[in-house]
Amino acid sequence: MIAPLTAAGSAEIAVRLRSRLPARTWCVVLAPVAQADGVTVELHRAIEAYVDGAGVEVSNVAGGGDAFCDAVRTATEPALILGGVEDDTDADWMVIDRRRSELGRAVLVLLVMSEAAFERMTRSAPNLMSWLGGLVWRWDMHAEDLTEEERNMHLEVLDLIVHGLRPMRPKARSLRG
Amino acid sequence: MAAELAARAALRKGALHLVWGGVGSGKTTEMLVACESLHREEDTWATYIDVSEHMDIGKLRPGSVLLLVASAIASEVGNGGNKAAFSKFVGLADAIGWPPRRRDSLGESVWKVFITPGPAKESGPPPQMVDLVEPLRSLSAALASRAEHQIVFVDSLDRLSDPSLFEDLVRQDLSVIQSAGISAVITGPIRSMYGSDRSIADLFQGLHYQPYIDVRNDADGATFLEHVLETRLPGTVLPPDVRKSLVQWSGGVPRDVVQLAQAACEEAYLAGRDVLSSADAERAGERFGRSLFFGLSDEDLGVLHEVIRTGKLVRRTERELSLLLSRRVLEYPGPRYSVHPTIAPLLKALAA
Repeated sequence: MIAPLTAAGSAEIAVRLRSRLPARTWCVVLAPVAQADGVTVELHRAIEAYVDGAGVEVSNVAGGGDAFCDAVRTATEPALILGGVEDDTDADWMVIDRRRSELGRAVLVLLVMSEAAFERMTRSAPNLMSWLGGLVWRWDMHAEDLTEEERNMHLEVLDLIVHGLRPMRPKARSLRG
Repeated sequence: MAAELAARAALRKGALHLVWGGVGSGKTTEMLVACESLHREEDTWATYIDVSEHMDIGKLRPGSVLLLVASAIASEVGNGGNKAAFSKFVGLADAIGWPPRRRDSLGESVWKVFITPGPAKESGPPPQMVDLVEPLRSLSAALASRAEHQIVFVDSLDRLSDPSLFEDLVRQDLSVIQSAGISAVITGPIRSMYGSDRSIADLFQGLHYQPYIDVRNDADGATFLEHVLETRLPGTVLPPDVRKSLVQWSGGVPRDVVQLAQAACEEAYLAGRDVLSSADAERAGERFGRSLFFGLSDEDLGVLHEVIRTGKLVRRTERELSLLLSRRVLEYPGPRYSVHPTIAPLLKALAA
């Protein structure tokens, strides 16, 4: 497989997203269906920890295009993690793409889905795809294989980077794996 | 395009103009700029209507666009002296099942103007489209005392996936609007223009294609996009050479140049730097390309290699159209075709 998507764990994703808010930000994290719930939990925790004031809402939008649009339209928190799009068909994505004017709120929307679902999205929602601007990650399960102590150290490093402390630059590069 | 669009739309009463172009090419921006510039003219009333803000485009049906346009004018002139006209539009609203799913802004206006305080619905069958020309003309005449020229900009019709519905709207709604002496500028689906039957084009007095900017061959266009970035990020943060690099990576897609600049900022931010470098731009371009590359089949790759080799795209099937719609292939004036610059290096690596 040529050109694999960038792999990242929850902390890196959260820090990258932090640099973009509060503008409208859409991104995708690709994870196997079996891992989706765990990924959502990790992302939830990381975004709450690293994005100032970002309450996170989690929504399962199984139910097609209307459910998807309604979830984004009615979200009350500044960050929204959406799952449940696995069964969305090309027709569902076309509906979502067509109704994108309803989705343009200045919130962070993070879609968790499998590669198969993302293929349908790329095929049938070209406008929504253009909102991603490269913010697509493959879930790096090993990034989360840390002890509590390692995780805290990792997050501390990231926090220092976020606050612009120059001595941390080499560590920042190491995040890119 | 905005200046030309405004000039042509104002040239003749009751003219229809079609704007079309690729995803993120800036159609909406151009329409808004043209509308604003016309609205500043003393004898002109221009308004912008984004249909998708008021209803699910998928549930659009003939009559909806006409009702939105009529309500925009009606809200300007009020119902004094226009009761007969209002009554006709109440009948139309009833016939097409208005209000739509949501009622907000103009949708709310339709409700307020035509339904809540409006006259009782006429008894009898719902009005035919042809019956609505005179009512609309009478509303237009009421507005003409302060704005002789009336122009509506109707956006989001390019999202219609069914070319026949688009044609119905043009032949019915837009025809009534045109016959009432009101000019209209609308967006249209790219499929209608690339399809085998382009007879729809004959219904318009002006076709305005919004291509991507050929930043490789159009120095002024490239400078324009660099200026767009400069207004967002000063030269102390985004040096000129990095700006140029981002513009080239974008392939001249206005939306992409902004996205790429954001991604490059993110790279610099993560590295703890306050000034963007060419490496940040390159990394942003690479990441962008990887997501754009995702999901391409072997057949798609074959088409992309052919585009690189010839600079042409032969639109044989849905595949070529899909590559255009998804910006993997960019169309420039000429027409010249190019693979999006962010995926070209990946294709080269694949071929090596």
